[in-house]
Amino acid sequence: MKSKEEIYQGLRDWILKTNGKITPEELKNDTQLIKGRIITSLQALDFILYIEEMTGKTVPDINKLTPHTFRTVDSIYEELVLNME
Amino acid sequence: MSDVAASRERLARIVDRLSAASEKQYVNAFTCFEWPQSLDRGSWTMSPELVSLYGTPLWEGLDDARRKALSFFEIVNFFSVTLNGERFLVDGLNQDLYAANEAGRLTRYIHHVIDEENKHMQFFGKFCMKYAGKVYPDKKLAFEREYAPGEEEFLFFARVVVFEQISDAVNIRIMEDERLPDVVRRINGLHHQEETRHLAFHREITRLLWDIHAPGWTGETVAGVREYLREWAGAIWREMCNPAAYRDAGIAKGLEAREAALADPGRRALRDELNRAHEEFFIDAGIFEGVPRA
Repeated sequence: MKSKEEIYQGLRDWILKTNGKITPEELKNDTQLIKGRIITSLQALDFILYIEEMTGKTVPDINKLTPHTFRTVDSIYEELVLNME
Repeated sequence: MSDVAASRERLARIVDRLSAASEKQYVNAFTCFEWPQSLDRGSWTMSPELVSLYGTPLWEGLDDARRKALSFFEIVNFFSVTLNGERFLVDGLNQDLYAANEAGRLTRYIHHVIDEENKHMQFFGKFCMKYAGKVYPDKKLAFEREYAPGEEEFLFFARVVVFEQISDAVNIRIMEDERLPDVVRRINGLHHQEETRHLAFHREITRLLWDIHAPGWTGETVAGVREYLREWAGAIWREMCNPAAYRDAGIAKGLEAREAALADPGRRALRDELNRAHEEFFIDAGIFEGVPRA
């Protein structure tokens, strides 16, 4: 099972690779990902599949997620990852 | 009469014809199919040429039994993606019923679309539950954002055109494929028959909404709309490559298989071909820049 640090690193790696423009120094765990247009809604599916693969768990019900879940790296960990099964 | 007024009048006439066709060609989709007790997973359930891994190095490494098993889970995924897309469409159209917007004026036909999409969801869902025990869940999310005037309504219908055009292109190939089970062909055939009417409506209302609103948008908004619609088509194809379907077919590394499918030049060429219909419509309507193919 991956540690919290490994999961955070995985989340950051995906965002940095997918966005291609933001630097590791600019991407903080409370950086606004949606307002800052760092990730888009059309990328959310790919991100969820990546997180499922990384954690070995699944999102039980997409309807329990809100767009705000993806607002920061911290919120993704706390509201998505910790609630996966 | 202005161009927009003429477009509204043309759309109203189209809606009258489509409504009459829906009433005359009404199909009871709850009773019209014969459902075999089971499907033979040792036979093709989806045209192999449409399977997302077809022709890739990974496909070449699969034996015949695994390829056919994959074709089964891919038809389940295709039906799941279509069902989930129709759910989104019906949610949006419900808001348009009797509303004071362009679509609301066409409520008569929207009732038919909602009715027919509900029947589609019913038979897609029945197939998935009966033969696979599940519908692959929708994992798409929409983020909140600001829209220019009319942009949100326009994008709703433009997205539907992209989705329905791609789905229809796949329906046509499957319904004509004699290698496939009769129930799979007939489901795709009925879907194609009714979606042809829906597409006529969704294309015309998309064109109308573009003609009304785009002249008032900034260049940045127009460029953003064009980019979004191209990325939306890509997102639909990404949904068609489902790691869960790969794993159900016995391909353990589902996400790797997905990336391989999306990167493969042969699969990209197929996607380009099946994207042609909506791209040509958007060019003709002035939504995309370019020259219509001869």
